[in-house]
Amino acid sequence: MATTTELKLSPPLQSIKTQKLISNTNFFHFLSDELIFIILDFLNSNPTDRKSFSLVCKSFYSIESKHRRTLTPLRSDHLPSILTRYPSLTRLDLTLCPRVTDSSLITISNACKSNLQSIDLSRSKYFSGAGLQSLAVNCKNMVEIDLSNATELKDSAAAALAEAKNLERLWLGRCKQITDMGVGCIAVGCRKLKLISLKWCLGVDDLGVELLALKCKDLRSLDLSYLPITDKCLPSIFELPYLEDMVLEGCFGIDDDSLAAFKHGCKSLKKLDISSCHNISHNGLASLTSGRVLEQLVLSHGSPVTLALADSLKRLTMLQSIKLDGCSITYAGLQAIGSWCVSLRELSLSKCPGVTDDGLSSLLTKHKDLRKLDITCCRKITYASIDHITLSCTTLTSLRMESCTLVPREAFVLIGQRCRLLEEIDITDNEIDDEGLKSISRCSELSSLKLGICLNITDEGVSQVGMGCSKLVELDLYRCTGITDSGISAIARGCPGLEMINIAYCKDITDSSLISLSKCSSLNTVESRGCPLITSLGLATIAVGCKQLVKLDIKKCINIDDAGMIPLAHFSQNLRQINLSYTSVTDVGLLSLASISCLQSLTILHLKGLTASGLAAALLACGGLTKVKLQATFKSLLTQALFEHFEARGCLFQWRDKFFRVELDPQCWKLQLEDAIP
Amino acid sequence: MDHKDKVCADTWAKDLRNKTCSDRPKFANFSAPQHQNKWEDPSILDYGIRIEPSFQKLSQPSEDQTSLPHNSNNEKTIADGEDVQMNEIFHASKIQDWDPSTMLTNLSFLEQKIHQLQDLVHLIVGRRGQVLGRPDELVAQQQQLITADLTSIIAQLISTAGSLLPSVKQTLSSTSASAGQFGQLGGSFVSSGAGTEASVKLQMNCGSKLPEQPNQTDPIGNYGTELNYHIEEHESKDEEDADEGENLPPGTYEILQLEKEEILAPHTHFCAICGKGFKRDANLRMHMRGHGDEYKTPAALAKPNKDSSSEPTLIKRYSCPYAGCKRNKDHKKFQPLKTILCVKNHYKRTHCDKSYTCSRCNTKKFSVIADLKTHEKHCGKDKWLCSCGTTFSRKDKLFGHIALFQGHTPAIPLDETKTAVGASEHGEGSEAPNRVGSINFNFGCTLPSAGGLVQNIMDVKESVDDPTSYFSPLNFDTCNFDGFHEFPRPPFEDSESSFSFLMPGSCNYTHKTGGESNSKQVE
Repeated sequence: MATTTELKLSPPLQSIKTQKLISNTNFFHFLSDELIFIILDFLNSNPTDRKSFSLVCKSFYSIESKHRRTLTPLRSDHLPSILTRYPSLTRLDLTLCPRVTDSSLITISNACKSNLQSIDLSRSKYFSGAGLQSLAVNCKNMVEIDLSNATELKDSAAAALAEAKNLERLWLGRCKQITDMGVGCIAVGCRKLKLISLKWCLGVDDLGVELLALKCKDLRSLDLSYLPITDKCLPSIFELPYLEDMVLEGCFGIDDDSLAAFKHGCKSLKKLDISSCHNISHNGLASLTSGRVLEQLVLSHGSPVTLALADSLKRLTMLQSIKLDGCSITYAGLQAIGSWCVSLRELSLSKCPGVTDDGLSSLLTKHKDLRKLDITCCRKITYASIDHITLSCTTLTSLRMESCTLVPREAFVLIGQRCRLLEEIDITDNEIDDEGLKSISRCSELSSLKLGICLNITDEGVSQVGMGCSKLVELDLYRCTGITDSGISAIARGCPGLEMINIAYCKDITDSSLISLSKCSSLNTVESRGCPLITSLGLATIAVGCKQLVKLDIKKCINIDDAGMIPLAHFSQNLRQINLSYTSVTDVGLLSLASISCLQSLTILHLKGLTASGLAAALLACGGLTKVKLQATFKSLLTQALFEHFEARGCLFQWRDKFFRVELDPQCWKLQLEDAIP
Repeated sequence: MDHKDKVCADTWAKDLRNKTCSDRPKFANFSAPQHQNKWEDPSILDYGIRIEPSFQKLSQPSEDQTSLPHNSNNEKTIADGEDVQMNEIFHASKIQDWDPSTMLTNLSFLEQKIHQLQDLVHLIVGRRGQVLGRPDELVAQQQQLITADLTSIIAQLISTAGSLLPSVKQTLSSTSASAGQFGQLGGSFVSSGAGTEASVKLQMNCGSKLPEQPNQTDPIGNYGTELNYHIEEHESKDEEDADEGENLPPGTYEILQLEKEEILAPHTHFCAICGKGFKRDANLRMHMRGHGDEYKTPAALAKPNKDSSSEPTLIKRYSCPYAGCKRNKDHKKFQPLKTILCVKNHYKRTHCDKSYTCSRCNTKKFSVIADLKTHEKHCGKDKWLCSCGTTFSRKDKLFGHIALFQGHTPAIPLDETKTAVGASEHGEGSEAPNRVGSINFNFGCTLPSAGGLVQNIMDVKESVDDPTSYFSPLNFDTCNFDGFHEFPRPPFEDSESSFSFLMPGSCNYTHKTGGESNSKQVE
């Protein structure tokens, strides 16, 4: 029943409106609210669809209001009216509100009462314990709270939070002022906690964490990254009966002896991250072998991967994924990993200086089931490695090999020939040419292709990609100077689902590229820095065609002026982030942009036509701004009171005092880049 | 020394003569009144022997004995070397699973006993030859006596052999009954008691030094104090609680029980001439000098029980006279008290009214004045606060408390002046474990100043005169809280009132810290 109704409704909703106008009787009166709710459940692909639905008629409006469960408001000042409109909200995401204060939280808690289960406050720091207390007391069913980056929160706020007895997931990342006392309160109050993240809570140490482990026995996931904890708290953590996921990244106080406690418990741990723990060697890792169900292990930036280390992990029979990013690695170590009895699904060796052809081959002969491989910046590997990878790991879905500079262009042909299941490939800064790209275009499942700084590719190869990879979502052509309009139009034709494109510094790109790209209606990120041939006309077509546009970077597109801003302001109502530096936009363009209510981040350096009063007017008009990057000269031109006003609204200023830089020739730029790399 | 020997011999002989049955508790019962007689006896020397039995026992067979007097010439090295020494002792206790020398001592002790028994039997045989027409009951009595002694010898022998077992098993549990017992019999130290014993020994050493060099210049006197402080702190750590770990099998030690009146008596040493009372024997001896030149001889001034009689005695443990107390020897799970001082403090704390009230908070009450002093030093400064109203001087203690009790939660001070306090908290937290060290350091600092010198001398007197200040007050603090863990107190009925006293306390905090060092010295 539901599905048939849905099929009837699936044509554009506007047609319903017309249909309603034609016939005076409203068919939808015969449908119960519940049925329409079920229909609405399927309306997820595009957030504006729901909005259109609610605007059809009063009854649709009220139905949509009753149906909506999650809300991401843009302004906290409209909260009272919004919350009365949507009575059955269970999740509230306030990350887009520039300023969430205690009074906002009190309003929310009084309006939503026990309906609210989840709230995300991760971008705000303007509230305190009073607001949280109101939330905790009134919203009894609160299960999830994200308080990351609330750097001003104190222990009293944590104590208030402890009233939320049903809380299961809590993020406190970067709450630097919370100490053991606050965490102790949470541990005693929120006994049902399953997930807690204390990343960067530098005031918390052993005592708080230990108490947490003693009191909250249901914990599944624990993030203790960068805490000054030592081995004192680990035994009680390892006794947690359900712990599955633990992150101990950058805990310098943890050493081999601490991990010895692992032997006596923690049978349930599936994922362990001990990256950047410099005091853990293979001796400590040997204790991990008692973790029978350990599936993922992150050892990035840790001790060198030697034979001993690899051997110590040999008995982890369930291991599927291991990350060794940034570890110095020996041939013997790689060989030993190759001799493990498990077959890894995911392996990350990015920036490991010791990875060689021999080592990689001996490793991969065993792990043929590999799905994801990261060999970013393994600068010693050559054709032989790629040959081996593509031969043994034919089921690879993700290959990241940025800056493998010794891999010759012929090698990339092998990738497309042998690994047809690739969904994601990063070949930034490689020698790949059109032949290689042509081969890669055979990977019909490809959704992400990164070709930044590949100077050997031309339109021919990119056109092949456009023809072969219809599922492409993300395409990065940063500084691919061989690309012109024909390549981009082939992409635009062949990849209708494209969401992100980067054509920065492709200096030959003109408006016609943008006109063809405007057909990709799901495009949300366009980066076209340093394309001097692009004009306002091209931008206008993008604005009209890509209503989902969220992020736009047109820095150094000197031919874009106010004429481009007006359609942008009119059509791209979802735009959140824009970079206008070095363009020809003036006060007028900026003022028109201010009508975009979503706009949060604005970078306006070196705008010749910008005056202080125009800037002030634009900033005043644009109420949702949270971050503005400005030329330092404006600091003295605007009054202090104005800045105070902006800051009270939750807007931060970043002052830059950079000289105007002349754009370099791409080849010259590459040479400079190579000089910079040791 | 002779006297002591005599007493020992006397006891032995008395035992032999009067003992009529082999069972141990009776033996203990018997000996208790005997000591009581001595207690009331104004003969101080005698009492001195009784009060420091453990000192005497320890000093006898120890290998360290030789090194100690040597050290006593240079007090500073003792103070400095003390930790090392302690470490050595601990070390020794760790590796001491089976020590041949201990075994040898034990064996020679047994041999001695057998010899004595042999003599006794000889005597009986001789008497039998002389007086044939004696009644049978006497014969029976003698027979019983010999059986009793033999049984005890056999028991000792078995347990000596038993001490080999742990070494075979390689168990390092030094508290294991037999190892512990014979370790102590042999005079080497076992971990459970090592702290106390080492410090006691040092104390004795110090005590002996003081009378010897009465005319020393002040700085050295001060060193003496420092040493004393060291001792007190180490000792107080394990007064009542440390012997929890001690697991002496019943019958391997002698149980003494003082009466309530004796325990509560303010003075235990009385001058035989003028009747003045003292809390310490050493003070009495110092006092005696005023009564004539005969008391000024080194022999008279020396510690009466310092001699090393070769005969090892049974370990002495104390029982609390309060019936039903766990520390009472009739209790099912009797846990003896280690020293007289433990008895006193235990009795006062557990079975007496808490008559000393803190003048600052007017809430906390204590029965031992030193506890009060300790508390007063910290009163209002315990900023680690639990929702039940209990305050703690250390964060880890608070968290231990919260981990233990359901529903208790850390209480955040209402005034969020946390930034400043927080910083000092952190400092405090890291400092806490080194507290003992830091106190000594404070003393060292005050030494050079003249005022500090005088105050330190005052301290010397005080600490010598007043056994209640025998323990470092600071350490009482922790003892108290340990006690609290043991016997969960019901949360305060009126949490608000306890809060209300806390808040002013914490406000006063900075003010008080300023005066803290002074008050410490003046006290």
